[in-house]
Amino acid sequence: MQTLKICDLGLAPDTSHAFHSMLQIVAGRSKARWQLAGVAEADVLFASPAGRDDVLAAWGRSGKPVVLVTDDRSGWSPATFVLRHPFRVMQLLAVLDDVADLLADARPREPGSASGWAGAQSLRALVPQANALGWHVARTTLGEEIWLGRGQVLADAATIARLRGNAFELTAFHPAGSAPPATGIALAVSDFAWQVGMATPGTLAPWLDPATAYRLRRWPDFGRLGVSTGLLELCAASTVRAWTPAALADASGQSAANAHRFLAAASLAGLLAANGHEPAHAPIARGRLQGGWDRFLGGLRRHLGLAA
Amino acid sequence: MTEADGEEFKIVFTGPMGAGKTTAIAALSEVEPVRTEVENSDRVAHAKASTTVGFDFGRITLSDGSVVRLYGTPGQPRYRFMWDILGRGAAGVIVLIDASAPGALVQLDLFVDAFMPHVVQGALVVGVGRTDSPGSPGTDAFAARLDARGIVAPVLSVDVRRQADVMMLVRTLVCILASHALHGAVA
Amino acid sequence: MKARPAKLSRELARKVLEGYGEVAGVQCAVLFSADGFEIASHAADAAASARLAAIGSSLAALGTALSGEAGLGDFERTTVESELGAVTIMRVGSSRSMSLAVVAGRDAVLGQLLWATQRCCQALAKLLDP
Repeated sequence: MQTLKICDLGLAPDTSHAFHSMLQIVAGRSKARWQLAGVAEADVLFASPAGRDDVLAAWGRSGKPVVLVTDDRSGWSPATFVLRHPFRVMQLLAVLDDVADLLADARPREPGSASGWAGAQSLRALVPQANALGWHVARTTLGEEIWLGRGQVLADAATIARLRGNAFELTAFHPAGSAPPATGIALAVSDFAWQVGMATPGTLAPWLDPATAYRLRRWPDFGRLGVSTGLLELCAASTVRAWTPAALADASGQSAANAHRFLAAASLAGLLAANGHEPAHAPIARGRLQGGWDRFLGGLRRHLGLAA
Repeated sequence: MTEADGEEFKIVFTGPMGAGKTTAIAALSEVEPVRTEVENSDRVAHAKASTTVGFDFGRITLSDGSVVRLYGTPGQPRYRFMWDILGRGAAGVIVLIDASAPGALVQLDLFVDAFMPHVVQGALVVGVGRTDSPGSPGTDAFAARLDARGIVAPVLSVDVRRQADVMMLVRTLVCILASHALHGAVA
Repeated sequence: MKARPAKLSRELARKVLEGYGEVAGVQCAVLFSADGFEIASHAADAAASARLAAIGSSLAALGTALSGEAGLGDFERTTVESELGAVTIMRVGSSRSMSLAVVAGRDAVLGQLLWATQRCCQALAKLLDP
């Protein structure tokens, strides 16, 4: 019988206490021997979404399983292993046995742990075929599932809300053995791809080339996606001409990380076109430019030769 | 006008009748806008009670002191002469389309054709309303329409009654203008 | 007053314009709705009267906006004086739904033209809004 170490994270004190008690009750009845341990040694995490983000993120990167403890009573199951609070001993036992089966399984684990680029890379391969795609699934660091297939992305409302404007990490998408639950909200594939790109670490995407000049062949719909001034400047610059990533950051006055995220997002959403290799441009003298969007407006009328 | 007064330039809102040009300018303008609406006598063609026959005029001041004059054109093709009058000297054009109206995609072509000659450096932004109306084309369909003509311009979902949405259209347009000024190809 | 009167009324209006067209110097006249549709015309082909109706309606609307802005009450008429003549746009009746555009050559005497146009507008108003 395998021994598995389990750690709880982010649970309310009475829930945590109940959990510890129940572990003792299930001892001898489960497929595995369960021991409480700290996060560093644990094989399984028993967590609520209230757990510390950095711990959850680090755990997600490890690819080890999470049991998500949630109050949410909606029909939609956001993760592979879910326990709805308050739960009974038999329910806990069932979930623990499922996890034990997974860890004991001789088959290779789902490809890729959650990492900065795993989700994005797999998405990049799948987006062009998204319309005809059979169901694929990926998981966030909280274990929430995101389904991709048949030309759409499906996830629950809370997951989608978390995607928008926040950093998140995904495992790679892999073929799902089943179809997604009927509940859940659909998101346009290109919108989702954009958000995945915007959530990447800020280095240049592995599939983009620092010596290639890229331009925007179509704008994202900021009415749906939300926009910042920096993003507008990146899009506008990329519409006027093609830039290498470094030149784009310089020209738009944005940080390299912001420029890289923009390029990843545009690339994943199918909005970016490559112009081939171009020599690196000399940095552009900034003159009057200060911060903010209004900085460009001085002298605009003069530049454009417009009458008042 | 001294340097300290800031720049001044003109933006035109256009698009078919009922797309929300008058509404958009009213939502954004700092001053009470000038309107030239009269009773619509052709309710068969369009259910709206009123229609613009001259132009709308509004004004906003940007944070650096620049003044943007906002002009709204009439939507109906018999007022095409006003499109030319108003388009002259415009820094940029915002085309508003109601996605739920019949022939919305064709209407986009019509207004883009009419105003492209007027826009310096092709500064064009398309705002599409009512994209959530069932059966309506999404912004992707409108963007694809522009793609087919080699035009790369933002196509953004908006609610023209919301000041923030209309402001987003203007900010986007100004960003494009600024980019052309800074980075555009020099002859 | 209906913005677009019935066919019979339009025919009668055309006759009024025909009579008015006898006034010295008048080249053509177009009665139009506030939103730029031709209602009746004299001595102008379909294309020309359509354009006069549209442009005339814009001028009338701008005139209304201007009068309002200046605090001078309702718009009554405006005259565009040009190298070779003049165009007058005059409101018909007290409602704002119709105006008359008159194109006159240099041989027209402006004062007389305006007076005759005013009479014509009154006749039209009686006809279309008794």
